[in-house]
Amino acid sequence: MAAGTAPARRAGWVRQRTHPSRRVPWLFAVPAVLICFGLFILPALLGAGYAFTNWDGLTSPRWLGFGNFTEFFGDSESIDVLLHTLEISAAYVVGVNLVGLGLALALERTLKTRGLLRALFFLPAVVSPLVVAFIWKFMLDANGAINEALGAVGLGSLEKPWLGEPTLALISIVVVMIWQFAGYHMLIYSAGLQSLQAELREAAAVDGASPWRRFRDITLPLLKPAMTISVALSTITSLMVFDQVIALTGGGPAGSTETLGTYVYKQAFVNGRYGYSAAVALLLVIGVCAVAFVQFRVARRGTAEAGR
Amino acid sequence: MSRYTRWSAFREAGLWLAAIPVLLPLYFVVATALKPADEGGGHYFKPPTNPTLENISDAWSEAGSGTVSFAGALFNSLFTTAVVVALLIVIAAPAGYAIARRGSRLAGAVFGMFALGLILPFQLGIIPLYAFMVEAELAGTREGLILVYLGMLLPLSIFLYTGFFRALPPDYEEAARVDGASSVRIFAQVVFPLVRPITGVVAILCGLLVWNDFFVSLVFVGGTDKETLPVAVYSFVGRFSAQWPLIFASALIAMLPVMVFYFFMQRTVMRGFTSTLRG
Repeated sequence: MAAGTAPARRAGWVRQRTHPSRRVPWLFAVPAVLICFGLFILPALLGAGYAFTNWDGLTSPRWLGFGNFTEFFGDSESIDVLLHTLEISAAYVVGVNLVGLGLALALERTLKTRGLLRALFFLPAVVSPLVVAFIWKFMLDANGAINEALGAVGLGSLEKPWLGEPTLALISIVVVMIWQFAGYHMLIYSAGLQSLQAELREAAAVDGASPWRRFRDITLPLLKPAMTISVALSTITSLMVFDQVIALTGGGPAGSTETLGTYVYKQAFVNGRYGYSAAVALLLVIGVCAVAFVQFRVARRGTAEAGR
Repeated sequence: MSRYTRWSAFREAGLWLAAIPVLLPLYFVVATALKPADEGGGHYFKPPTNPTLENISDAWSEAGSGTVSFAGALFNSLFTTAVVVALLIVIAAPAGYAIARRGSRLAGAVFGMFALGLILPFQLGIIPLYAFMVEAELAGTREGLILVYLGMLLPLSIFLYTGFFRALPPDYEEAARVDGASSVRIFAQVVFPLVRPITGVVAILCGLLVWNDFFVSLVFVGGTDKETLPVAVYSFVGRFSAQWPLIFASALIAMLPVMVFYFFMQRTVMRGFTSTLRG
């Protein structure tokens, strides 16, 4: 083969390689675009618009400007809702990431039943959150399994109305969420640990670094990408919590566990205040997008550093 | 290679101890569901002395808040999940293919719209969508519910497919095109079989999301005979508040299909969940 023809042949091959593919008809994407835009994006945009009105679904909406938002921030009841949501979210994010990371680290290598344990810890994540919450409602009930167990082992003084007292009810909701999703976050951290080179750690072990120093200086920094994803995901899902609250407390006692998710639902479908409900939903969206944006920035800075 | 040390044994024992609180709630469901009504109150840790399937058969035929029995709700869940997953694959796979292969600015914009859909919480659009569904007389119907799920889950499906197609070299389709095959034939016979792994991931993730969803089903078909299992369980608890054997029988009906599926496919399921994290 003459050397001179090779570039020409390659150029021809490249053109053939990219050109015909561009003929994939756009028609392939039309149903997806129509359905997703019409039934998901457009309603969301409309919802953002209704957030500035007093729409009730019956009479024609009247423009309120920022009226719904000033009402939300001026009302102590809705501020409480916001606070409960933030409390649940903060406790959940810390808890589920600590447990998830702990499980992932404990499950690393050499265990005989590693696969079985992993599958077991992940199991709750595939069950309906609503059903899980009802199982826990049974356990947390004043006459439920947990109090029965406490009484049976002579710790009757620790028996509590787990869902009947505001602070305990909030903690109970968080515990149920952690129980269900710790395995999922374990999986995220496990994936991060796998990409971490074993040699690096063994080298450090030879150098005589203590296990804690090895963890702090080697494992933890390399786990940062996994941690960024895990923290962002847990923040977003907990800000939108709905099923667990509805099933465990219904927002009670006396509205003390009402969250943004349940508040949006009740304002719309119980009180018929569609416009106000949309405004609260919009606030929720802004919060979620802010978290997603921060996660994106942190992740990008992480890869830029790694590339350097 | 690391050896199995005393520390490993300690970790292993600790983890099995930690597994007890994971298994205990599941034990309660099964044990309580099998207890006859007169064993229902108290002694929750005790296994049923006279196990019975009565609760399960009662729950099976008992009507929920609409006029649907649990058998009916099970059918609704199976039907809705199967149709949504099938349609998602049929709609999202070609769309992801077009977006990945086009690579133009327009393709970037279309992908951007789906990426936006990925982070937009569903709550914002639910009221206008509900109003539209009422207007179109689709509220309370299976068709309406399926459409809502499609719109909701297309962003995730297309995100997964597009990423996979981008990494797939176009050599095979090129060869087929040179042979004169049409775009549709190339896609159906050459490209689609190559992306089976990601089709599995889409099916598992979206299937579980639909099966376990409570909120959308509650809003769009709650109180009708089209309600899916979680909504049926919810209304069941509302009516039989303290009758845990009966309630857990219904929970068991809702959980068992997923558990059986997970038992046989655990590796695939777990891989599916982690594959969304890349990219």
